[in-house]
Formats: sequence, structure tokens, C-alpha cells
Amino acid sequence: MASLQLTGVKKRYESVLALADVSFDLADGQFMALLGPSGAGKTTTLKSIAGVETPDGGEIRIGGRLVNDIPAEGRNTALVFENYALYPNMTVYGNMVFPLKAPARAEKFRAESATQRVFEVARTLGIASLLERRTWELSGGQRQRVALGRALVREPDVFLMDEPISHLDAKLRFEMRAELKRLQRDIGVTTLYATPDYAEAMALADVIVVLREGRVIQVGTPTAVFNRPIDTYVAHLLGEPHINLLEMEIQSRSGRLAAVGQGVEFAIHPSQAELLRQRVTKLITVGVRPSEVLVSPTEPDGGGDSGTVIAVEPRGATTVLVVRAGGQQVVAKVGGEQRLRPDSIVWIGVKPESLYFFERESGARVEVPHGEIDAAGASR
Amino acid sequence: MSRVRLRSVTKHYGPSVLAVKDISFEVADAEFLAVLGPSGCGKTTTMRMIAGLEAADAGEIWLGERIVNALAPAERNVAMAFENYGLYPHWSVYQNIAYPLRLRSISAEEINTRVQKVAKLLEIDDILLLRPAAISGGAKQRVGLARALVRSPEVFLLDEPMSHVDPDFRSQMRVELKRIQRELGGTFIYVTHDQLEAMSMADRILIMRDGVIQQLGTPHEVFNNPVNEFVGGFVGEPPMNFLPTRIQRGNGGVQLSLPNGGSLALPARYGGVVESMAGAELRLGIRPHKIRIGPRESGEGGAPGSIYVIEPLGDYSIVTIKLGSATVKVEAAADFSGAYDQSVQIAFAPEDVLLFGADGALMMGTVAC
Amino acid sequence: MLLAIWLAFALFPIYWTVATAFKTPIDIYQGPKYVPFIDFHPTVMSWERLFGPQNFSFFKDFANSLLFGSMSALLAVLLGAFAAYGLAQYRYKFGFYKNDDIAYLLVSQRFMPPIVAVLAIYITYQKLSLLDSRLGMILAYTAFDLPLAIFLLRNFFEQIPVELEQAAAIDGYGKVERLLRVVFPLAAPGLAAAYMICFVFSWNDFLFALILTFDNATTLPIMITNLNTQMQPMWWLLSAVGIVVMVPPVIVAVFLDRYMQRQVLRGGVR
Repeated sequence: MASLQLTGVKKRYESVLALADVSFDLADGQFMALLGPSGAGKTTTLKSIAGVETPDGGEIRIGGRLVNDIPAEGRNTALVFENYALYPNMTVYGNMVFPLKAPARAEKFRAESATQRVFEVARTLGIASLLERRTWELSGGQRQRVALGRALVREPDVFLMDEPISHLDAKLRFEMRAELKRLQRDIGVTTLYATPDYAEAMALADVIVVLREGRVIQVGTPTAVFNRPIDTYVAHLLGEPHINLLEMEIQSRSGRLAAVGQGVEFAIHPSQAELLRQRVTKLITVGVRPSEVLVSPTEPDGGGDSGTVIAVEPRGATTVLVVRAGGQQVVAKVGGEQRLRPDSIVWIGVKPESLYFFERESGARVEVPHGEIDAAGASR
Repeated sequence: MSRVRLRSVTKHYGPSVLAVKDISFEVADAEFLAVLGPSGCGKTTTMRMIAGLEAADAGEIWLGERIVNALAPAERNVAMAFENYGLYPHWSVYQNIAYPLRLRSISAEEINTRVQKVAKLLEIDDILLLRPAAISGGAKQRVGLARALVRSPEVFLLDEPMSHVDPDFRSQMRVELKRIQRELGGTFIYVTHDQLEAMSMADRILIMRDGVIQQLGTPHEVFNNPVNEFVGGFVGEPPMNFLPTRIQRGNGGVQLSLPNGGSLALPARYGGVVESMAGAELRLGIRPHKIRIGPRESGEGGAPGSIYVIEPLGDYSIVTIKLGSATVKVEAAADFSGAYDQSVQIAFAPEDVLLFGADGALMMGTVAC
Repeated sequence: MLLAIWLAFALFPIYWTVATAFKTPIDIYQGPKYVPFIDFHPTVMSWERLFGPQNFSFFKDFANSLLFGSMSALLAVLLGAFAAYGLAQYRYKFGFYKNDDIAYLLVSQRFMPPIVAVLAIYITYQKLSLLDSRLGMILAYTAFDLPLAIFLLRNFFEQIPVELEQAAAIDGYGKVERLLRVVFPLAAPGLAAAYMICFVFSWNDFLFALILTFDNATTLPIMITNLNTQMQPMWWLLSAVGIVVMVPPVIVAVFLDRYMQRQVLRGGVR
């Protein structure tokens, strides 16, 4: 078990810059998720830490020790590959005991204790009955657990996982998520988990690193990254349905401020007015999460923005409504089931404190206080 | 004129593989029907039989007022979009989309108008001159869709046409596809394994498993009144929780047992059939968003348990709670916090519960839900 | 039906050879006799001659053929495996020579007819006193089998996913260990097939043996030629030797078959 530090890691493959500048710290025992779409550099980062890829620049430290020049065999890491990479010429037992028989570990795991260890891990993962099987006889879920088992038997300093559950069917993936989180917590191994799925990252990790085109965009706890995204990219990446990003302008409305755009108007909370006052008549991107959009079939007191329902997507416990208000398309997620049909007229509104503001060109978020609501400064 | 009807259709692959077993259903004119099920359930086979790419071994397939079993695909006037694109590699995207129209002696300008319209709709108007090899998988799928949409057939058959499309674009395409369907007024049959897609787009969902129809109903129906455990557990995410239960007579009258010593009053609608259920091993289904973490209030049932794992997901959290050896997943508030193995109580209302028999079928009560 | 006719057609020469090996010279010269015990009386005369004292150097030639075939195939496959692995897994650049260029360079050795090379080898061996030596023959056969082995093996190595070797590295194994324990076992079908082909090429070779040997290092094909006496070929002995020549490759094939059959890569990568 050890901490992990990456500083300025770079890697180039012929004409492609896979990693431009990756830096982060992972504390001993923590679970960190590397979140990003395919091609962002997640696999390259994991393989560089494991030692099977060599970075062109930067430092990698495991437990404080610089490992750049130590080959993979000498670093005590484990990697669960996206496609498992099980050895087809060995049984499940053979696969799992293989790391323990390596020269570096052979003395630590003498014959009997190696077998014992394999049984222990196999039992924990529920695959003890499969030890004599060949890898091609196993289902996807079973293979994935064998890959996990092979990684865990050796008590690694750093445990690396590359989209380990992405090839399982939806239900199994859902169950395995909770199991993996609990497993990591019980074992306590420092873990780095790569995934393109934001829900996996949020559900599992203590810390999330958002990776984009080889660069670290944001590092933070799941709640921090979700509630205080650093820019529109991160805001859009986390959340389902995606956050609404509307092009608007800040305008003054008899002493108060409002965000206005293409026929839609949202009141701005007075506590935020100070910071935004300088931006009056300036363009701004306003972010609203679908779950924060209020939809009502009748016009609320105090008015609101009216629009037409374009689509109704029932999901069982919630319903997603796509509403065209003015020139904007707004996605709302409302609880329960709706009797609304396409082409119905509805009114949408947003509580001022739910609004996010982003710079129009760079997409960076504008920090505004999200303090307590004051009852007097409520809806428009 | 574009109703689709299947009557007692069966299909084998070889002597031992029964792909589709005696299925019958009807798709109304201008309806969007999703055929939903896990891989291998027979949904693609069914679609291919409607298209004419596979022959049914038994039963009748009707398109409109005609029995089409003996007709070749071209004679059935159906349009198809596949999961693996099926594009002609030696032609440009434009030519691929235009091909179905060229066969039907339509003027060149008309072809051009229609192709441009559809291409713009699916945002592929900038790659019309490229060859399939030069575009991404997601773009290829959109071209496949465009090719199907450009005609005005009676029936549109879509086989997981968006599985390789970027997830971001997929939600947008869902809205567009639904809108196109409404505008064209066509009958769409959409095959998928993704319950979210089916729920979002379909007027009705046909759920299949191992070649047999499980249920045919609106999203509301299959979600709230699943006909068996399989449907209950397949539709909805997070999935429905299932707990073992049996009738017990306690101090409060007739009750249902819950794991770890919990209990729940018998839901009113089962009052009349309680005798037939006594002694049986039943399964209780309850959806994650209907469970509350906290002590039970009057009228509610509940059980004690401990927190196994908390998964924060942004706008809500999923808390996995162990009730002895049983597990439930509960949808809780986004900021729910608790310690591992902390003791908690769960509570829920009897009317939110569904009972399933040992065979998995829904137990019907005396009052319709 | 057609297959049966073709089969009979193809197998007939083998049958004839086997039959002839058991005939006396008189039987052979008297005209075609097809069925043993009916047309003629089978005898083990030829075999007695071969295994007896005046055996036309049968044992020596047989041993040489076996030695050259098995050793050159082994060396070609071993060396070729490393070379093929290198070509498959690494990207080389020597000046403007990339992987495919190097591969072409190696494989093109075989494009020219061996007869062109054999003269050069003769002269070289003369200088090195390697003529008619067992070592010389093994080296020559290996050199000519190697390009073939590399060509065959490169494809097999390319099919092995690089992740398997990476997994072995992370599991704690050094380069050579990884190759021997993980990569080569997975290439077993290819290795077996390459061995088979190299063995047969060396075993059947006539040209090299003819030019580069005269006494010590002769092989079975040479012996067969020697059985062509001034009067008439000694069919009965020729046939017997012919059978002996046919058998070992078949044995090798049968033995290696189970390695070639294994679909070894299933289940390794998703």
C-alpha cells in the first residue's frame, strides 16, 4: 500500500500526444477515478504507472520513490486490463498464482502460502469453484473476477483498473459497482480506476480526476466536481441528462439582475448580483441541471417562461421533458409520471440559486456565492 | 395501412435452437413499438422475419392487409436500419442514402431534396461526399438511419441503430427520431437491449425473453404493473429490489415477513386471496425510490439493516443496505451520509409493493392496480 | 464418389512402392503385379539387404537425414521465433529500413533458386573445411530454413495481443521469462507448424546433399540415387528406402498435430 504521485507526465505516440501534462496526488488507501472519454489518456496513464509504457517526461512516484527507471517487473503494481488479458494457456488457478511465482515475489510467497493466498482471494470474489477451469470456459462476469483476483493476490502497492466492468451487461455492471467499492474499502488498497462513465466515477471514488486530451482539467471529490464544475466541459460531462447550457445575456430589470436569452428569462439571486453587475449587457453561458428545472402546466403566480413540450421520455420513477421555450431548448427531469404530451404548453422556471454561470468564450465557471436563500428574493 | 401483425410465429435455428416460440402481437398504424430484451431473446430474429430476411417456420406475418410470409424483403415495402450499418463501401454517403430512391424512379431533384433533408436532420450533411471507410462508426450508423428514413415505406425496422453513436449525441438523436416518427406518421419497430431507450421513445414496449413474449404494454404499464419478476427487474434503473417473503400472522393481523426480522402489513388488494398464498414462498418487489431510510411510520412496513455501500451520483445517491443476508438498494438524497456498517432502518408503504409467486409471475390481487 | 476416385489415384503410387518393396527382382521384371499373395509372393529380401552388413550405408544416411532435419528445423524455429517476435512487437528503424523492409530482406533470401547459392557455399565450405561435415550441413539447412520460419512465425506473433505480455511484465516477469512462459506457449501452433515445414524441407533436400557431401554426411536422398546402378535401378531396394523416407515426416506431423490444433488464444482477451 502506498501513495502515488504523478508530476507533469507526458507521452507521445508518433504523431499523437497522448498525455500532455498529467499531475495528481493519490493518498495511501484512497480510491481515485480517472474520468474521461476514450482517447483522453486514461489507459496511457495507467500503463505508465504500471511500467509497461514509458513516459517521455515527468515523474512517477510510488510510496515516495521515483519509479520512472524501474521496469514493470520491479514495481509492485497490479493492472486489470479492459479486456482482462487472462493467460489462455493456464487454468484460473494458474492465472491467479502466476504473479506469486515471479522471481521477485517467489520467496515471499512460498509454495503453500501461495496456494492459500489464491484460495483466500478466490473465495472473497466468489470464484473458488472455478479454479480448475480454462479461461475460455468462463462467462464475461467470471473472467472479470478472475482478472481482479489475479491483481489482488499479490498485495500491490497500487491497484490499477482500466474500465474493468464496461463489457458487462447493465445489470451486472450495476451490481459489481457496489461490490467493487466495498471490496476496496475492506482491503484498503490504493486504487486508480479509469472509466468514461461519470456515474461509475462518482459512485466509486473518493477523488475524481477529470482528464481531457491528455490534460487534467479538474480534481476533487465527487460532490465538489458535480456541484462546482470548473468549466462547461466538466459540467456537461457529469449528470444525466446533461446540464442545460444556455446562451444568455445579463440584463438589468428594475434594479434586479436577470439572465435573458432568446425569449427566456431567469432571475438572478441578489447575493450574486454584486459579482455579476459588472457583466450587464455581457454575454454569458448559463447552466441549469435538468433536475433543477421546474415545470408546471399552468402559469405560476409571478409569471414564468412558457414553452412547448417537444418530447416526453418516461423513465419510470422520473420523466424527462424537452421543452422549447422561446428560442431555447431546455431539458427538465421531473419526478413521477406526467400526463403531458408533446405540443402541450407548459411554464418553466428555475430557482435563482440553482443557476451556474460560465464565461462565454472559455467556458470557465464564474464563481458566485451559493449561500442561503433569502425568502424575499425568490422567484420573478 | 401500416399495421403489423404476427400470429403464432415460431422460428428454429437447427433442430435444437428455438429462437422464437409462438409469438403473437399487433403494432398499430403510426405506433412506435420498442422490442426490448437481453441478447439472445429473439428480438432481432423477430425483426428479421418481419423484414423478410428470415423465414418463419410457422405462423403468419401481416403487413397492412397482406400476409407477407412469402414475399421477399423488397416486395414488403419496409425500410431497415441495422446495428452494423450495412452500407455499400464503394459508394459515397450520398449515394448510399439515395440508393433506395433511385430504384423507384423518382426525379433526380426530388432525390436530392430528400437526401439533403434527411442528412441535415441527422447532421451528416457535411460528409455526404465521403466513403463509408472514411467516417466514424457513429456517423455510419446515422447514415444507415438516413437511408432508412429517406423512403416512405409502410414500416420502419430499426435494429439497435444507435448502439455505436456517441452517448452525448444519442440522447439528442432519440428526440429527433421520435419527432421524425411523429411527422412522418410511420410505424416504427425499434429493437434494443437498453431499457432506457425503450422507455424514452416507445408508445408501447414488447418485452421478450428466450423467444417468448413476456409483456406488451405502455412504459407506464410495464414499469408499474410488470407481469413477472423478469420484467419487474429488467425495466427501471436502479432495478427493482426482490426480497423473499411469506405470509405470517402477527399481532397486527395478517402480515408479510421481511428479512432480518422485518414485517409489512399485507397490502389491501391481496386481502381476498390471502388463503391461497399462505405457506408459499413468495417474492416481494419494491422499487428503490419507494424505500425510505429511517424508522417506520404508521401504516408502513420496515426492517432493520446496516449500510453496505453508499454511491453518490450527483442529484441522488444509491445506498445498498444489508438486511441480514438480503440486500436492498435505496434511492436517497444526494447528500445522504452515513458510515459503513452503520445500523439503519428502512421503511416503505404496503401499496408500493408487488408480490410474485415462486414461478416469478405476478400475484394478482382482488382490486386492479 | 469423385473423391474416392481421386483418393485411389493419389494413393496408388504409395501402395505400389510399398508393394514393390516386398517383391523379388524377378517379380518386378516380370511385369506389373498388383496384389500380394495372389500375384506374387511377398518377401523381406530387400529389408534383409538394407539392415544387413552390406547395407549401402543405409543406417548412416538415415541417421544423417534425421539429424540434419531435426536440428536444422529446431535451430531455425528457435532463432526464427526471436526474430519474428521482434518484427511483430517492436518498431524498428535502421536508416530508412523499417520492419517490413527488414522482413522482406530476410524472406527474400528464399526467392533465388538454391542452386545459385550452393556454389558459393561450396567454395566457402571448402575454405572452412566444412565440406562433407555434419556441422556444415546443419548450418546450411538452418540458414535456408530460417527465412521460411520467420515468415510463418511473424504472423502468429502478430496475433498475440500485446496486453498478455504486458500483464506478465506487471506480474513480475523479466523479458526473457515472459517470452518463454507466456508468448511462446501461445504461439505453439505456429512454432509446431514452422518446425514441421522446416523439417520436411531439410529432410527432402537433394541438391545441398549432392553438392556438399560425398561420404560422411550423405543423406537418404543421396542413397536413393546411389541405388541407380549402371544396369537398372534396384527397384526393390529403392522402394524400401522410399518407405523409410516417407515415414519420419508423418511421425513428426502426428506428434505435432495436437499442438497445431489448439485454439490457444481463445479466452485470453475478451
